[in-house]
Amino acid sequence: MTDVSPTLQAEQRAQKHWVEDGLPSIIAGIGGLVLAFFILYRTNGHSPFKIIFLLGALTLYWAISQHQTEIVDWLKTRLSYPRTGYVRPPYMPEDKSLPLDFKMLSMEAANTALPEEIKLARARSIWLFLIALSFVLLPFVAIAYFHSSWIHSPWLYFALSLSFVAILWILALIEHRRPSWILVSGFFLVGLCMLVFQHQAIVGPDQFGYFLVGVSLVSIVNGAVSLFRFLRRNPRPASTTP
Amino acid sequence: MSENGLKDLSSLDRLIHEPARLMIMTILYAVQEADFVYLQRECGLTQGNLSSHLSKLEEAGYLLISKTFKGKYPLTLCSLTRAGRQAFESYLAKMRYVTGQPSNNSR
Repeated sequence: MTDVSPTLQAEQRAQKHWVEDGLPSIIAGIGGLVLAFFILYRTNGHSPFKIIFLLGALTLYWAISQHQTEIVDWLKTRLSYPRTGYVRPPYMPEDKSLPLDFKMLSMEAANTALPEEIKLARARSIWLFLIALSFVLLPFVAIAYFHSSWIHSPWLYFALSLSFVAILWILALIEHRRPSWILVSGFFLVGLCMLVFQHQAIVGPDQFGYFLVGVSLVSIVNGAVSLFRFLRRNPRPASTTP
Repeated sequence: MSENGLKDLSSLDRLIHEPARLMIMTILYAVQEADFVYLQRECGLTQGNLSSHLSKLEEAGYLLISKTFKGKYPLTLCSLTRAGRQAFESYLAKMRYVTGQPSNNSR
Protein backbone atom coordinates (compact mmCIF):
# COMPACT_ATOMS: atom_id res chain seq x y z
CA MET A 1 0.00 0.00 0.00
CA THR A 2 1.21 3.53 -0.74
CA ASP A 3 0.03 6.84 0.71
CA VAL A 4 -1.39 7.80 -2.70
CA SER A 5 -5.08 6.99 -3.17
CA PRO A 6 -6.15 4.61 -6.01
CA THR A 7 -7.89 7.51 -7.82
CA LEU A 8 -4.73 9.60 -7.82
CA GLN A 9 -2.66 6.56 -8.80
CA ALA A 10 -4.97 5.97 -11.77
CA GLU A 11 -4.51 9.60 -12.86
CA GLN A 12 -0.71 9.42 -12.47
CA ARG A 13 -0.55 6.16 -14.45
CA ALA A 14 -2.61 7.76 -17.23
CA GLN A 15 -0.17 10.72 -17.33
CA LYS A 16 2.82 8.35 -17.38
CA HIS A 17 1.20 6.33 -20.18
CA TRP A 18 1.72 9.31 -22.52
CA VAL A 19 5.52 9.48 -22.04
CA GLU A 20 6.55 5.88 -21.29
CA ASP A 21 7.08 4.93 -24.96
CA GLY A 22 9.66 7.72 -25.43
CA LEU A 23 7.96 9.19 -28.53
CA PRO A 24 7.38 12.68 -27.01
CA SER A 25 11.08 12.80 -26.07
CA ILE A 26 12.17 11.83 -29.61
CA ILE A 27 9.92 14.42 -31.29
CA ALA A 28 11.01 17.17 -28.86
CA GLY A 29 14.66 16.27 -29.59
CA ILE A 30 14.12 16.39 -33.38
CA GLY A 31 12.47 19.83 -33.00
CA GLY A 32 15.49 21.01 -30.97
CA LEU A 33 17.94 19.68 -33.61
CA VAL A 34 16.11 21.52 -36.42
CA LEU A 35 16.23 24.78 -34.42
CA ALA A 36 19.94 24.23 -33.67
CA PHE A 37 20.57 23.64 -37.38
CA PHE A 38 18.92 26.99 -38.15
CA ILE A 39 20.97 28.80 -35.48
CA LEU A 40 24.31 27.30 -36.54
CA TYR A 41 23.95 27.74 -40.32
CA ARG A 42 22.14 31.07 -40.43
CA THR A 43 25.25 33.23 -41.02
CA ASN A 44 27.29 31.16 -43.46
CA GLY A 45 26.74 32.88 -46.82
CA HIS A 46 23.63 34.41 -48.39
CA SER A 47 23.03 32.35 -51.53
CA PRO A 48 19.32 31.93 -52.52
CA PHE A 49 19.66 28.17 -52.05
CA LYS A 50 20.90 28.67 -48.48
CA ILE A 51 18.10 31.14 -47.68
CA ILE A 52 15.47 28.67 -48.97
CA PHE A 53 17.16 25.90 -46.97
CA LEU A 54 17.13 27.97 -43.77
CA LEU A 55 13.52 29.07 -44.29
CA GLY A 56 12.64 25.40 -44.76
CA ALA A 57 14.39 24.52 -41.48
CA LEU A 58 12.56 27.31 -39.66
CA THR A 59 9.20 26.23 -41.12
CA LEU A 60 9.93 22.62 -40.14
CA TYR A 61 10.74 23.70 -36.57
CA TRP A 62 7.53 25.75 -36.40
CA ALA A 63 5.50 22.81 -37.72
CA ILE A 64 7.05 20.39 -35.20
CA SER A 65 6.62 22.72 -32.23
CA GLN A 66 3.03 23.64 -33.14
CA HIS A 67 1.88 20.10 -33.96
CA GLN A 68 4.03 18.16 -31.51
CA THR A 69 1.04 16.46 -29.85
CA GLU A 70 -0.54 15.56 -33.20
CA ILE A 71 2.72 14.02 -34.48
CA VAL A 72 3.21 12.03 -31.26
CA ASP A 73 -0.44 10.91 -31.34
CA TRP A 74 -0.09 9.80 -35.00
CA LEU A 75 2.99 7.72 -34.12
CA LYS A 76 1.32 6.31 -31.01
CA THR A 77 -1.65 5.16 -33.12
CA ARG A 78 0.74 2.92 -35.05
CA LEU A 79 3.12 1.88 -32.27
CA SER A 80 1.71 2.28 -28.75
CA TYR A 81 -2.10 2.18 -28.75
CA PRO A 82 -2.36 -1.32 -30.30
CA ARG A 83 0.04 -2.57 -27.60
CA THR A 84 -0.91 -0.80 -24.38
CA GLY A 85 -4.18 0.89 -25.25
CA TYR A 86 -5.34 4.47 -25.35
CA VAL A 87 -6.19 6.75 -22.43
CA ARG A 88 -6.85 10.46 -22.29
CA PRO A 89 -5.66 11.98 -18.98
CA PRO A 90 -7.91 14.65 -17.40
CA TYR A 91 -5.67 17.57 -18.38
CA MET A 92 -5.21 16.68 -22.03
CA PRO A 93 -7.75 18.56 -24.16
CA GLU A 94 -8.97 17.28 -27.51
CA ASP A 95 -7.48 20.35 -29.23
CA LYS A 96 -4.01 19.25 -30.32
CA SER A 97 -2.97 22.48 -32.01
CA LEU A 98 -0.95 23.78 -29.05
CA PRO A 99 2.46 22.48 -27.98
CA LEU A 100 2.07 19.82 -25.32
CA ASP A 101 4.27 21.57 -22.75
CA PHE A 102 1.88 24.50 -22.43
CA LYS A 103 -1.18 22.28 -22.29
CA MET A 104 0.35 20.13 -19.57
CA LEU A 105 0.79 23.24 -17.41
CA SER A 106 -2.86 24.17 -17.83
CA MET A 107 -4.96 24.31 -14.67
CA GLU A 108 -8.15 23.90 -16.67
CA ALA A 109 -9.16 20.29 -17.07
CA ALA A 110 -11.03 19.30 -20.21
CA ASN A 111 -13.39 17.36 -17.96
CA THR A 112 -14.75 19.72 -15.32
CA ALA A 113 -16.39 16.94 -13.29
CA LEU A 114 -13.01 15.79 -11.99
CA PRO A 115 -12.44 14.54 -8.46
CA GLU A 116 -11.41 17.31 -6.05
CA GLU A 117 -8.44 15.16 -5.05
CA ILE A 118 -6.99 15.28 -8.58
CA LYS A 119 -7.61 19.03 -8.93
CA LEU A 120 -5.81 19.70 -5.61
CA ALA A 121 -2.86 17.46 -6.52
CA ARG A 122 -2.65 19.18 -9.93
CA ALA A 123 -2.60 22.68 -8.44
CA ARG A 124 0.04 21.60 -5.90
CA SER A 125 2.28 20.07 -8.59
CA ILE A 126 2.10 23.14 -10.83
CA TRP A 127 2.91 25.56 -7.99
CA LEU A 128 5.82 23.42 -6.77
CA PHE A 129 7.16 23.22 -10.33
CA LEU A 130 6.84 26.98 -10.91
CA ILE A 131 8.54 27.77 -7.57
CA ALA A 132 11.37 25.35 -8.38
CA LEU A 133 11.70 26.75 -11.89
CA SER A 134 11.95 30.35 -10.65
CA PHE A 135 14.59 29.38 -8.06
CA VAL A 136 16.65 27.69 -10.79
CA LEU A 137 16.19 30.44 -13.37
CA LEU A 138 16.57 33.41 -11.02
CA PRO A 139 20.42 33.19 -10.85
CA PHE A 140 20.59 33.26 -14.69
CA VAL A 141 18.40 36.35 -14.91
CA ALA A 142 20.58 38.02 -12.26
CA ILE A 143 23.77 37.10 -14.16
CA ALA A 144 22.34 38.40 -17.43
CA TYR A 145 21.34 41.66 -15.75
CA PHE A 146 24.46 42.40 -13.71
CA HIS A 147 27.22 40.74 -15.79
CA SER A 148 26.18 40.71 -19.44
CA SER A 149 29.71 39.58 -20.44
CA TRP A 150 29.13 36.29 -18.61
CA ILE A 151 26.54 35.33 -21.23
CA HIS A 152 29.42 34.33 -23.51
CA SER A 153 31.15 32.34 -20.80
CA PRO A 154 31.14 28.53 -21.27
CA TRP A 155 30.53 28.27 -17.52
CA LEU A 156 27.05 29.60 -18.18
CA TYR A 157 26.18 26.52 -20.26
CA PHE A 158 27.65 24.23 -17.64
CA ALA A 159 25.47 25.94 -15.02
CA LEU A 160 22.49 25.76 -17.40
CA SER A 161 22.95 22.01 -17.84
CA LEU A 162 23.15 21.60 -14.05
CA SER A 163 19.92 23.56 -13.71
CA PHE A 164 18.27 21.26 -16.30
CA VAL A 165 19.33 18.31 -14.13
CA ALA A 166 17.86 20.05 -11.06
CA ILE A 167 14.55 20.72 -12.86
CA LEU A 168 14.38 17.07 -14.01
CA TRP A 169 14.96 15.91 -10.46
CA ILE A 170 12.29 18.24 -9.07
CA LEU A 171 9.80 17.14 -11.76
CA ALA A 172 10.47 13.49 -10.94
CA LEU A 173 9.98 14.14 -7.21
CA ILE A 174 6.69 15.95 -7.85
CA GLU A 175 5.42 13.14 -10.06
CA HIS A 176 6.61 10.38 -7.65
CA ARG A 177 8.92 8.70 -10.18
CA ARG A 178 12.63 8.20 -10.76
CA PRO A 179 14.37 10.69 -13.05
CA SER A 180 15.76 9.24 -16.29
CA TRP A 181 19.48 8.54 -15.74
CA ILE A 182 20.11 9.11 -19.49
CA LEU A 183 18.72 12.65 -19.29
CA VAL A 184 20.46 13.44 -15.99
CA SER A 185 23.90 12.16 -17.05
CA GLY A 186 23.42 13.37 -20.65
CA PHE A 187 22.63 16.97 -19.70
CA PHE A 188 25.56 16.98 -17.27
CA LEU A 189 27.88 15.67 -20.01
CA VAL A 190 26.68 18.28 -22.52
CA GLY A 191 27.45 21.05 -19.99
CA LEU A 192 30.85 19.54 -19.27
CA CYS A 193 31.67 19.28 -23.01
CA MET A 194 30.70 22.94 -23.49
CA LEU A 195 33.19 23.79 -20.74
CA VAL A 196 36.05 21.52 -21.81
CA PHE A 197 35.88 21.79 -25.60
CA GLN A 198 35.41 25.55 -25.80
CA HIS A 199 36.63 27.26 -28.97
CA GLN A 200 37.49 30.95 -29.44
CA ALA A 201 35.64 31.10 -32.78
CA ILE A 202 32.38 29.82 -31.31
CA VAL A 203 30.67 32.70 -29.56
CA GLY A 204 27.21 34.12 -28.95
CA PRO A 205 24.24 32.31 -30.50
CA ASP A 206 26.55 29.62 -31.97
CA GLN A 207 27.40 28.52 -28.42
CA PHE A 208 23.70 28.15 -27.74
CA GLY A 209 23.31 26.29 -31.04
CA TYR A 210 25.90 23.68 -30.03
CA PHE A 211 24.36 23.42 -26.56
CA LEU A 212 20.95 22.83 -28.19
CA VAL A 213 22.45 20.11 -30.43
CA GLY A 214 23.78 18.30 -27.35
CA VAL A 215 20.58 18.62 -25.34
CA SER A 216 18.43 17.53 -28.32
CA LEU A 217 20.62 14.48 -28.98
CA VAL A 218 20.33 13.48 -25.32
CA SER A 219 16.53 13.82 -25.59
CA ILE A 220 16.46 11.65 -28.77
CA VAL A 221 18.71 8.97 -27.21
CA ASN A 222 16.56 8.93 -24.08
CA GLY A 223 13.41 8.57 -26.20
CA ALA A 224 14.95 5.87 -28.41
CA VAL A 225 16.03 3.78 -25.40
CA SER A 226 12.56 4.16 -23.83
CA LEU A 227 10.92 3.17 -27.15
CA PHE A 228 13.17 0.12 -27.49
CA ARG A 229 12.34 -1.01 -23.94
CA PHE A 230 8.64 -0.30 -24.50
CA LEU A 231 8.47 -2.34 -27.72
CA ARG A 232 10.40 -5.23 -26.16
CA ARG A 233 8.17 -5.28 -23.06
CA ASN A 234 4.91 -4.95 -25.01
CA PRO A 235 4.73 -7.18 -28.08
CA ARG A 236 1.86 -6.41 -30.43
CA PRO A 237 -1.13 -8.66 -29.57
CA ALA A 238 -2.88 -10.65 -32.32
CA SER A 239 -6.33 -9.31 -31.43
CA THR A 240 -6.95 -6.25 -29.31
CA THR A 241 -10.65 -5.41 -29.08
CA PRO A 242 -13.60 -7.75 -28.56
CA MET B 1 -26.60 9.05 6.60
CA SER B 2 -28.95 7.43 9.08
CA GLU B 3 -28.34 7.22 12.80
CA ASN B 4 -27.73 3.50 12.51
CA GLY B 5 -24.53 3.42 10.45
CA LEU B 6 -24.73 -0.34 9.99
CA LYS B 7 -27.93 -0.01 7.96
CA ASP B 8 -26.14 2.38 5.60
CA LEU B 9 -23.93 -0.52 4.56
CA SER B 10 -26.94 -2.21 2.94
CA SER B 11 -27.47 0.83 0.72
CA LEU B 12 -24.00 0.48 -0.88
CA ASP B 13 -24.21 0.28 -4.66
CA ARG B 14 -23.67 -3.45 -5.29
CA LEU B 15 -22.94 -2.81 -8.95
CA ILE B 16 -19.87 -0.71 -8.04
CA HIS B 17 -18.95 -2.74 -4.95
CA GLU B 18 -17.80 -5.74 -7.02
CA PRO B 19 -13.93 -5.60 -7.08
CA ALA B 20 -13.44 -5.72 -10.88
CA ARG B 21 -16.10 -3.07 -11.52
CA LEU B 22 -14.68 -0.97 -8.68
CA MET B 23 -11.30 -1.01 -10.48
CA ILE B 24 -12.93 -0.01 -13.78
CA MET B 25 -14.90 2.81 -12.13
CA THR B 26 -11.81 4.09 -10.26
CA ILE B 27 -9.77 4.27 -13.47
CA LEU B 28 -12.50 5.94 -15.49
CA TYR B 29 -13.25 8.35 -12.63
CA ALA B 30 -9.64 9.65 -12.83
CA VAL B 31 -9.39 10.04 -16.63
CA GLN B 32 -11.51 11.47 -19.42
CA GLU B 33 -11.75 8.28 -21.44
CA ALA B 34 -9.89 5.01 -21.87
CA ASP B 35 -10.09 2.24 -24.42
CA PHE B 36 -10.72 -1.46 -23.90
CA VAL B 37 -7.05 -2.49 -24.18
CA TYR B 38 -5.93 0.08 -21.58
CA LEU B 39 -8.62 -1.02 -19.12
CA GLN B 40 -7.78 -4.68 -19.70
CA ARG B 41 -4.08 -4.09 -18.97
CA GLU B 42 -4.68 -1.88 -15.95
CA CYS B 43 -7.26 -4.21 -14.36
CA GLY B 44 -5.60 -7.48 -15.38
CA LEU B 45 -8.89 -8.96 -16.59
CA THR B 46 -9.58 -11.26 -19.53
CA GLN B 47 -11.39 -9.88 -22.59
CA GLY B 48 -14.59 -11.75 -21.80
CA ASN B 49 -14.56 -10.79 -18.13
CA LEU B 50 -13.95 -7.10 -18.83
CA SER B 51 -16.54 -7.09 -21.60
CA SER B 52 -19.16 -8.53 -19.26
CA HIS B 53 -18.42 -5.99 -16.49
CA LEU B 54 -18.48 -3.10 -18.96
CA SER B 55 -21.84 -4.26 -20.30
CA LYS B 56 -23.32 -4.32 -16.77
CA LEU B 57 -22.05 -0.79 -16.05
CA GLU B 58 -23.36 0.41 -19.41
CA GLU B 59 -26.79 -1.12 -18.77
CA ALA B 60 -26.94 0.77 -15.46
CA GLY B 61 -26.20 4.00 -17.30
CA TYR B 62 -22.87 4.51 -15.53
CA LEU B 63 -20.75 4.08 -18.61
CA LEU B 64 -20.74 5.29 -22.18
CA ILE B 65 -19.16 2.91 -24.68
CA SER B 66 -18.43 4.09 -28.22
CA LYS B 67 -16.64 2.37 -31.05
CA THR B 68 -14.41 4.57 -33.17
CA PHE B 69 -11.19 4.57 -35.20
CA LYS B 70 -7.88 6.35 -34.64
CA GLY B 71 -6.31 6.05 -38.06
CA LYS B 72 -6.70 2.33 -38.81
CA TYR B 73 -6.65 1.35 -35.14
CA PRO B 74 -10.13 0.44 -33.82
CA LEU B 75 -10.95 1.90 -30.41
CA THR B 76 -13.62 0.82 -27.96
CA LEU B 77 -13.76 3.97 -25.86
CA CYS B 78 -15.24 3.97 -22.37
CA SER B 79 -16.06 7.01 -20.25
CA LEU B 80 -18.17 7.63 -17.17
CA THR B 81 -21.54 9.33 -17.59
CA ARG B 82 -22.68 12.06 -15.20
CA ALA B 83 -24.85 9.45 -13.44
CA GLY B 84 -21.82 7.15 -13.21
CA ARG B 85 -19.70 9.86 -11.60
CA GLN B 86 -22.44 10.74 -9.13
CA ALA B 87 -22.96 7.06 -8.25
CA PHE B 88 -19.23 6.57 -7.70
CA GLU B 89 -18.94 9.71 -5.57
CA SER B 90 -21.91 8.56 -3.50
CA TYR B 91 -20.27 5.14 -3.12
CA LEU B 92 -16.99 6.74 -2.01
CA ALA B 93 -18.79 8.97 0.49
CA LYS B 94 -20.53 5.93 2.03
CA MET B 95 -17.27 3.97 2.21
CA ARG B 96 -15.56 6.90 3.89
CA TYR B 97 -18.38 7.08 6.41
CA VAL B 98 -18.09 3.34 7.06
CA THR B 99 -14.31 3.49 7.51
CA GLY B 100 -14.50 6.67 9.59
CA GLN B 101 -12.38 8.74 7.20
CA PRO B 102 -12.95 12.49 6.79
CA SER B 103 -15.09 13.58 3.84
CA ASN B 104 -12.25 15.62 2.30
CA ASN B 105 -10.41 12.99 0.31
CA SER B 106 -7.13 14.82 -0.21
CA ARG B 107 -4.23 12.45 0.41
